[in-house]
Amino acid sequence: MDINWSLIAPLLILQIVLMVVALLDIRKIEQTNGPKLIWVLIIIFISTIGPIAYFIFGRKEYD
Amino acid sequence: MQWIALFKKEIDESWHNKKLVWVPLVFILLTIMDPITYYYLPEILEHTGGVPEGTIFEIPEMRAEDVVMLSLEQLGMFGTLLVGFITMGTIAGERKSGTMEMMLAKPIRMNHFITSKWAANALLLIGALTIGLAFSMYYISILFTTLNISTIIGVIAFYSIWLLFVLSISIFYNSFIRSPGAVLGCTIFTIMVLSTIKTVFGHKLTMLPNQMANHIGAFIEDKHVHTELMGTSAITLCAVIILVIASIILFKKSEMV
Repeated sequence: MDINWSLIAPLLILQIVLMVVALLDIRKIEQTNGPKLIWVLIIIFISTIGPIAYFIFGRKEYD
Repeated sequence: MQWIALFKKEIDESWHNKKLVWVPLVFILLTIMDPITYYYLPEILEHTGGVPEGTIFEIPEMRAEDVVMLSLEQLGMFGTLLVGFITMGTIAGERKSGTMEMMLAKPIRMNHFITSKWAANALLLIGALTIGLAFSMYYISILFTTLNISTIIGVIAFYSIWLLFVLSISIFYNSFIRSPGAVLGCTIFTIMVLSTIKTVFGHKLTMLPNQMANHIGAFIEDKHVHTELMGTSAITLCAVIILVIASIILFKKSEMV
């Protein structure tokens, strides 16, 4: 199969950036909803959905 | 100016909680997924197997216009949901955490409070949408056929109005409901009711806010702004203004008690 990497690369880069931003954030944040380690694993192993889920549900913003 | 200060506080906060970063990223991913998938669909089908030898697949030839619509459909589902998630706590969450009591201990005008929050979220969403759709249409132009710049700007402008509408619904519920989860539930429920109304009465009521995407489809197709699109935009913007005013009134009431 002929894959044009210049097309796919931005997609992969975006996913990686999203993951890195989530990981940098979780390093700074004091507490998460639920164990931090689980969130780190979710962010790393579930691509795209993992970091988004962390930003929406994982950050303890409101209390 | 007090309003500017409040607005700045909101922007600072969305930088601090990384919304300013992840929301645009997610919008880009949402909108470029479909163009890429459709471009590679023949290869994907071939390689996932399950197709008997010699089968000839007629994959409809996708035009750039069709693919833009796919991106918009994706936004219509996940984008709308995302707006709900992003904004569910904007006031309700601050109530819960007590930040708001601190804020309101200062002499802050309620309408400034609501409109600054609305504006900060609107800026975030429209910015993310613009970046996302710009990316997607750039891809579409490379993979399919070129779209002209006025079409691109038109799609972004009209779709922004729909996002503002969803944002305003969420702010409206935020103004008097105390739990972020309940705000999200009510927002989604409202969108669902609207979509049911569209299904049942859509042929008569052609200018409901949630018919925006369909009219944008016609706009991309004909490169011409139809009366329906103008009408829908006007109605949606009116609804936005009414929702914001109602939010201010309800917010004042709920804070008096």
